Amino acid sequence: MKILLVEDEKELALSISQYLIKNEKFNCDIADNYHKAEDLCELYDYDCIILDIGLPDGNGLDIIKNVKSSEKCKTGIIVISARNTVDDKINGLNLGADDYLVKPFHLSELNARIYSLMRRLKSEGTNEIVINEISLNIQFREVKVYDKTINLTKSEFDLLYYLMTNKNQVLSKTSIAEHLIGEYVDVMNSLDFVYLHIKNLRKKLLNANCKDYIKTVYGVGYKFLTE
Amino acid sequence: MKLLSKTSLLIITVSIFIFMIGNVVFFYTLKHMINKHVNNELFFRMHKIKEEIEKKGINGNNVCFSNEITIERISSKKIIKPKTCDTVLYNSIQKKYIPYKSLKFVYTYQNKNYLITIYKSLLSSNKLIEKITVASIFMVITFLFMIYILNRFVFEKVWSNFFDNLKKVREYNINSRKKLTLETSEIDEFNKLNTVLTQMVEKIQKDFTNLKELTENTSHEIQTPLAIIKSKAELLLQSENISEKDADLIYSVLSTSERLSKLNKSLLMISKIENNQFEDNSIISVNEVAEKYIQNFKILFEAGNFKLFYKSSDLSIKINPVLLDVLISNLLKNAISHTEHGREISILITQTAFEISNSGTPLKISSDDIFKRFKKGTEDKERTGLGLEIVKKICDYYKIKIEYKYNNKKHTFSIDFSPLIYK
Repeated sequence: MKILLVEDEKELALSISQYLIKNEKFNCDIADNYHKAEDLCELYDYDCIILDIGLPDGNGLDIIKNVKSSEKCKTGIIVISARNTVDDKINGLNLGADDYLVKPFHLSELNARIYSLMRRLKSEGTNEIVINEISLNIQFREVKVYDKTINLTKSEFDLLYYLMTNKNQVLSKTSIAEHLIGEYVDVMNSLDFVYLHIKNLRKKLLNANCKDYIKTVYGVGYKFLTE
Repeated sequence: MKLLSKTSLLIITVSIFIFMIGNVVFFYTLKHMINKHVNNELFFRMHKIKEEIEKKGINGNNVCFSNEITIERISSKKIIKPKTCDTVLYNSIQKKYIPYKSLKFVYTYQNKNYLITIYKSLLSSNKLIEKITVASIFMVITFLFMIYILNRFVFEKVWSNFFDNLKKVREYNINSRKKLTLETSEIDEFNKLNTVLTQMVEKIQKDFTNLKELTENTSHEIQTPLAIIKSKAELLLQSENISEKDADLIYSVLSTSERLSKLNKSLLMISKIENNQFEDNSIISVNEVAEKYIQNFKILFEAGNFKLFYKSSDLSIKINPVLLDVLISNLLKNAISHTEHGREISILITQTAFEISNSGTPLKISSDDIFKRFKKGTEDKERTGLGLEIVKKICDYYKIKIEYKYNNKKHTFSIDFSPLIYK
């Protein structure tokens, strides 16, 4: 899968591409200005563009317009921006962006968003994520272990989806919490609820004779370990 | 005290004082003048009488002598000088003593000495003084009254511009981008005041805009380095063979940078509210928003075993959707984070108000401080301490009332939405 990352902040671009390459074996090109981004868009067909709209030599919103009006309209676009106003969000989405993430975000969250975007856009792609004995059907929100359906609550399903799309990565408690309830995590004096949900999910998976993939990284978070 | 009352009072007090002194001086001067006049007349009559005696002799009634002249023969050889003095005589007709002025002199006629006394009634002149005094007092009172009226009139004429401009300045909102225009006046001092005021307002406005831009730009610019720190920490967490101790260190870098970023966002939110940057209002149902967040936080309710009581009626208000979201979610967050596990949270939406309460121990800070920036009821370092301030700012922005109560071991916040209700 080919991804174009348009981000003028070099260090941030490096972090993002490193994470994506390591996790999913994506092909990731980086453009640090508007013109380079334009040229790369002309030259190659990307599956997904991750776009910072605040570029030094042009407005990132124009890239959305150009891409979506060309024959490459199947390319998914995720806008990342430091500006957190409703207007910006609406503008970006109206022009055809598929998702909007506000900086600073969790790399794992970006990864999960790319994952679900790819699934939505590629009609020929399967709606299933399969890791060994576990298969997760996104369309029907159904989880099967050895072809036997197990019952999960909505948040447990979201949690498993997040873990599986970021497999073999350490996911911090806050990133999980944010994925589950949005950007309101600053309240939680304790992130006990993450522990509680992991505990329930793990119990349900183990009851279905599934291998114990979910490892606790002490003090930090959790990891879905397949290796 | 108003300017008009102050000036009128001052003018009247000073005038009364001046007129009092003036009247006393006037009274004595008048008295002195009349006295002099009477003396002159007495001396004139003395000469007349002397002439008369020379011509007609002293005996008999030939010297047209009324009771106002008495003549006595005296033996003393001493010749005294003519002398005036005040005296009273009994008037048999009016049956009372009447003040008189008398002139005594000795006259030698045919080698005999006579003491002659001439009297002059002071009754009429005293009456005159009395009348003049009364008239002058009356005049003073009329004059004071006139001054008061005149002062009022002049005041209204001269100061009207000033008061118009004062009203304009008072009603002027420094946040608005409109220019402050003041009316020019015929009075130079007022025009100078206007210039100074306008310049000051422009300066304040410029500083205000600069500060606003600085806050916003800083907040935005801070987010990018924070995003880098956060992403590096996250990458570091993914490294192979990382020790537990190192992972812990990295996690605290990660969570601290997250906290900073949230703090930054909250401050940005406050500055945006203060700068009136949420102007678009639409009609939204409070109960729908509340339900959305209850659904959102359901996972927390489950984890914390909170008992949730929710009762609602339809309440639609005209408000900015983002601000209503922030308002409701902050109150809900506040309730959740201050309630012990297993206790209850209740939300009540009536036709005019939103009320949220949670059970808990009494506050350690004063309830007046509850909405203040960085005042935290607990030692918890994870929270920003800005949530309730944002709530208060939103309520102030829309001029709606928010109340905090602690009753029956329950903290209750209630917001009266009635000014915003959409009809």
